Amino acid sequence: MICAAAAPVLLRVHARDGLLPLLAQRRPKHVREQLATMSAGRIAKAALWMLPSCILETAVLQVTAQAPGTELSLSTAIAVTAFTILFQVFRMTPGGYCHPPKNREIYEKISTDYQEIAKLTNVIRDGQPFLAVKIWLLCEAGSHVRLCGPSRTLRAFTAGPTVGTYFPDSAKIFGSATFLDYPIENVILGRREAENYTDAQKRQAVNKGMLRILYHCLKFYMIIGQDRISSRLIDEARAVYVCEVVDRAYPNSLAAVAQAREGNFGRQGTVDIPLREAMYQARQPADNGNAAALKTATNEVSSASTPCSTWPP
Amino acid sequence: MWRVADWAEVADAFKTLTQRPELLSALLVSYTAAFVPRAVAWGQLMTSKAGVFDLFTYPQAALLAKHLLPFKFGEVVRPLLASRRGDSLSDAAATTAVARLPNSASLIVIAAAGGLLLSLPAGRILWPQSLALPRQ
Repeated sequence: MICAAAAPVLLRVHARDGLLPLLAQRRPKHVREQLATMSAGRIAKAALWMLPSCILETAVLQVTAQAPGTELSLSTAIAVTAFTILFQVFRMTPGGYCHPPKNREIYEKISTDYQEIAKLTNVIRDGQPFLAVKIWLLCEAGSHVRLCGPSRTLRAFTAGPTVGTYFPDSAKIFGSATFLDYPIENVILGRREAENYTDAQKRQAVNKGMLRILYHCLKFYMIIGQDRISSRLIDEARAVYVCEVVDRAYPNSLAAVAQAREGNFGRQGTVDIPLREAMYQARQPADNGNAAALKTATNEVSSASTPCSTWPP
Repeated sequence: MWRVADWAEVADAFKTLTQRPELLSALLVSYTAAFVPRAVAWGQLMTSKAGVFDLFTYPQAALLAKHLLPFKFGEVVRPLLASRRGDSLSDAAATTAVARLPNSASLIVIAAAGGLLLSLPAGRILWPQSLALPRQ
């Protein structure tokens, strides 16, 4: 932004004194002559040609980052490309250091968004009305994933093509590729099956819908982790499950819900620990490139996580 | 970079890219194509009428030199190559130096656009969010 602010100043200096002749005074004679003959119009034309070049570089950066699964929003890609080359132009040359948040960190935060939504649904217990709009805004652009751009929100996952592609059987059963999205949308709008829902029923439907989303998100990362034989993607599935660490615990997570439900149904130790162990064990074959062992381990995770999709909220 | 990079992730990324040769090819072509408008831009600045292909190849060689050699040796390679093919060295050197102005101008435009998007406050996309709300 400093550079953008400096641009009009430079242009004004150029208009008043002539920036190029000023530069030319400090060059050898023949170079000076070349600079003096260079018109602002030619430089402007050259600048117009530079733009598509920079845009292409931005596109390459973004696609390269996204190919292995790293999330890089368009705005970040633009800024990183521009500032990297710009600093090289000004000879400061940091070399293009960019440290976008890791996907694992993003998914930890997505789970935190889920907990924010759960808190919002709980206000009806205090006699307040159901906060449909606020809940929808969190689905659309959860505050915890804001740093990563809008592409990693809960709704980007549920309303995009991913769910239909990776869960075709469920899509067929529910008759829609957005089977995770529309139940929540109907609650928010108060339409179709949710038309006559009470606030308590809306709370229950949203919480149940959110758990289903997280469960499918976890499964999705296990599926692509198996496809790509990548322990990093398995870590992302684990991140969705355990969420962020708070005081060495995972209070805002699907894992915490699993533990609570184990207690409710007297089934301690039957879901959470086996699921964590299965995910942990899936990492090793992924690291070793052992596709067969990874498939077995992924099946274990799938089996261990099934209760997550059926809990009552 | 050495300290902060997660090298397992870097290796993973390389592995993923090599598993997708079509994408890798598209990226290489796109990145190379990005130098074509730069060559045209350079041609706009030069008084001698060097061909776009020549002006396209010199920066490629300069870029290679820049990555392989220390300091900014690539910046010297570019006008030297141009002069060896018959263009005036002074013209090539001057335009290489001045090419930084249009380059900076276009980058300032792009950086300002990107910076504007990034610097928006927390509630920055409130209106698109509102638009995205389902209609009754």
